[in-house]
Amino acid sequence: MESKKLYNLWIAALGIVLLAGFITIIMLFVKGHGELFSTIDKIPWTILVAAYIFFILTSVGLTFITSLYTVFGYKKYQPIVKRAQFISIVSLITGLSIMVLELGKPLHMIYYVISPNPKSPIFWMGIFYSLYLAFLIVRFWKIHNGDWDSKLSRFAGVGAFFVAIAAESTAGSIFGLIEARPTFFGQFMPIYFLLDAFLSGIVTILFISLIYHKVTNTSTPVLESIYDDLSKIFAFVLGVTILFVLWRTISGLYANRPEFAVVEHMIDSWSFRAELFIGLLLPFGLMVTKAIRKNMNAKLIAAIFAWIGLGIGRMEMLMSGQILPVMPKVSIQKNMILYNPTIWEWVICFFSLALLLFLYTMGEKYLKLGASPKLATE
Amino acid sequence: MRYGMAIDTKKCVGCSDCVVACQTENNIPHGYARDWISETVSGTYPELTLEIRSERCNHCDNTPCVRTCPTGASHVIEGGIVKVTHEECIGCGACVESCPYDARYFHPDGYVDKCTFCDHRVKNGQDPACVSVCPTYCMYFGDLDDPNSEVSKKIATRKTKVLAPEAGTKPQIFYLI
Repeated sequence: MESKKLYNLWIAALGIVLLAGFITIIMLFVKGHGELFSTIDKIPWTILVAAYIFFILTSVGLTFITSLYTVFGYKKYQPIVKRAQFISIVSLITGLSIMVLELGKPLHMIYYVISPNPKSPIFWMGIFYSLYLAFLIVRFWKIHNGDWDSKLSRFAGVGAFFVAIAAESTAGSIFGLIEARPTFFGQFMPIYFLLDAFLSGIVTILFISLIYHKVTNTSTPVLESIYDDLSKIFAFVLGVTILFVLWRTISGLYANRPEFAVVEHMIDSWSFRAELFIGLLLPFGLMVTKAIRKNMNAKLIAAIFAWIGLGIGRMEMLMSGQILPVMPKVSIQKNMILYNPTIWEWVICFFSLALLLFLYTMGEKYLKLGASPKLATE
Repeated sequence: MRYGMAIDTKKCVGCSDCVVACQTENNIPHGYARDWISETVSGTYPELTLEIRSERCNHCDNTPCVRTCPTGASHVIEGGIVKVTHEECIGCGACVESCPYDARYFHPDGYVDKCTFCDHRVKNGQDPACVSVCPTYCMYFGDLDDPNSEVSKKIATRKTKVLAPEAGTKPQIFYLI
């Protein structure tokens, strides 16, 4: 009875956010972006793009988690594959939905087909993500029907892994190939996206699974052993990400080009400190301490902190390339450009999160996401 | 045929007539602009120099904005004019981000807009609106491939510079300094 009550409360809360989101989407199509969003021509990529990146990174990261079994053959991890695969699909759908809402003219996407530009990274990102979604759906459908190891099922699983790498690094290249924005430009961006995707995947599977097992009291020693392993990988990936963020910051401080003045500005901001201390260092500290790492609640807390840090970090990364105008315009716009999301932009962000959680809840209810062949759970 | 522009920074007074003419000619919504005035002060007091420039899309030869557009909405038309076909633009913002001159803006209707050198006027043998209204005649427009055009002669006989040459985009607007 208690859990039924909790479930109804959960669905009602998600329903309210989804309803607010649908109303905002209708208003968006009636009134247009100019009326509802504070996206300005000086900062075209704002919080919805940050949310989009957040969800696609999560999707790809979860595919990396499933690859432990699917590609690298570690059977131990099979019990979490179906859940990870499903959240990967709904996260990708959520990300692509928010992207459509962010676009000024989403209906014009037909020109992707009619007059494609193969030189554009966004064009290739669209191709790779479409392919990725197809592979994910086929793989999940096969798993759902108990087919883990047929040729087609394995092909879809392995294919999803490789296309995910292509898609995510191409998404990173959208930023990495913009020479006009030196804080974006460079070969590191596609690699950074892959690294952050892996972190997002680990955080998400720990976050959602641990809460699920807590609420439903379904944890088993096998599952706990898997989460113990994941928390070690979690600590390692956090460590690499910390190094990456620190060296990115230091190289920005050393740079002479005026655009890198933004780095000093960022260091002074609360968002940078929140990302570094709450989102990276704190969970890293928790996960490298063996006694703490063993505790399931500590894993959950670390995942929550890292999850918040990832959200802030996406916004931080986006703003770093945009809050200073490009060179010739500096003479008329010397100060950092301020961007504050409107309430409607926040509603769309929470809507997307609610959409993901709602789809996941339905998946958990109707698709038996914890299912795996008996052999693996013994 | 390669259209381009020369702008005499010694003659420009920064009156913004070119900006207003463009907004009127091209029906630019309030608060947005395809061209703008920049002022740069250099030197140290009392030896100061003020340079005033009328700026817009540089209609570059090497166009990062065209490369990055996923649908081909940003493209180059005859005469090297860089244009956006509004009907094909999805409003992703990639071209806005990749332009080193910040010369594009998001139209409130959801697409990206920019200077077209008033190609609808140029087709009829007229100058762009900004050039035609300049009270000090500081702007010269024409065919850079024709050595006898006024714009080519100005560029050939005066000291010139382009904006952000380090971007490697080969701008086709030259500032006479």
